[in-house]
Amino acid sequence: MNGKRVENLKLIQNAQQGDPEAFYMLFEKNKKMVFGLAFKYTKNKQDAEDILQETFIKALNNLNKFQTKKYSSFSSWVYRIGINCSIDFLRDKRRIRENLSDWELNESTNPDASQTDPEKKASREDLKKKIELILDDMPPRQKMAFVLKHFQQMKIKEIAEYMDCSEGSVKKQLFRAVTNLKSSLKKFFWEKEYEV
Amino acid sequence: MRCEKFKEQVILYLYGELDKKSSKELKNHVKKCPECAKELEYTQKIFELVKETEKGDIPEADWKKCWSHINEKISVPEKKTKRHFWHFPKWVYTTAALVCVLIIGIIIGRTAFTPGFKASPMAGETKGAFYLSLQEHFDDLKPLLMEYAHYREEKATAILDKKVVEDLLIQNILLKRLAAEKNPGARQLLEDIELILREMTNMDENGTATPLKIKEYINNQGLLNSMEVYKNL
Repeated sequence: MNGKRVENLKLIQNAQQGDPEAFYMLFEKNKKMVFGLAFKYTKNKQDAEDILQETFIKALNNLNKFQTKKYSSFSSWVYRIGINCSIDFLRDKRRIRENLSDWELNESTNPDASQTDPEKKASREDLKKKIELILDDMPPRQKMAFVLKHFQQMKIKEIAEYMDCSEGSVKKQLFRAVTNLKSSLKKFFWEKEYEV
Repeated sequence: MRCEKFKEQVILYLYGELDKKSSKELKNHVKKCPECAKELEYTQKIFELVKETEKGDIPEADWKKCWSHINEKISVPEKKTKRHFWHFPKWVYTTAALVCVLIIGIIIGRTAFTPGFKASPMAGETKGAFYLSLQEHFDDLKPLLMEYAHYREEKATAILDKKVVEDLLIQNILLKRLAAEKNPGARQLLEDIELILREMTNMDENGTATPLKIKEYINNQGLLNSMEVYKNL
């Protein structure tokens, strides 16, 4: 067992015994990793900060359940909590958005309408915006699998471990996400004949 | 059928997660099948574009603020150790709340829906309840609108709690629906307020120009005065 690991174990033990200093150290060591993931997932600083807070509050409340034998490290444990908090956050946010639109009397206009005009030629920037919109609309778990694969460069096996599901399930999520992207962008691409 | 299988494998191949044997099989197939070659090229292009959408620089979070929120929670378990006699299990509070709602519901139902009852000279049977809700809503809104009405850019005093604003917006939309039947004037006022609340919910932290717009709108429309009129009815 190397020195760093021993130091981490000591911190975790102290935090489990209620030492706020020790928990603060754990927060300091892992905050950027969790915030980075949350930001890549939500693309919004405020949302990512909320997820960061929720993650560490959950970690704190479940600290006694953390077992060093079961999880390879505190970082991977807290990262896993961060993934779940991000997914829950997006679900809640969408629920609020749906509730709001249910109450609306006036029909809202589709902000994407101009961009889906097939007559309009798509620039590379248009395509990137379109991709962002498609990512925004992905189901929360599918989006997480996609973000972990494409923006965190994780292996499918790692994603399955972090998301607590089978590799087959991750593959299915990724196939669906990529197929959706491909079919949505096809019309833009055929117009440009791969010039982008 | 054969091509269908390769279409799935193309994705894994580009991820670098296809075993050697299947990769070789795919490469050989692509050489012979122009459709799959095109599919491979297309998927690759999509992946390149996805990579470009990744925001390179992750901003610095407000670590202090985040930690202080977490820190507040740290102190909660310590407080829990002292158990006071008024600390009951959660279900007791839930049941008590339900009973209260039921009693209030019965009282409102009896008073508002009893035949022959007149809530106010200007109201129908449920009009009184509507005006009461409207007044309560305006009471909730007033501090928020006052804050924006007196917003000064150099002092940047407008503080926004999005959850509160979203709750107010839902409440506003509900009342607007009711007002369509009860009072068209109130409906117009609620529509103006809805515009402002929507502007607030859409405002991000960098939208410094928006509080000024909101201030201007509140003052030009005389919203606070109009709300007072309804409060005094």
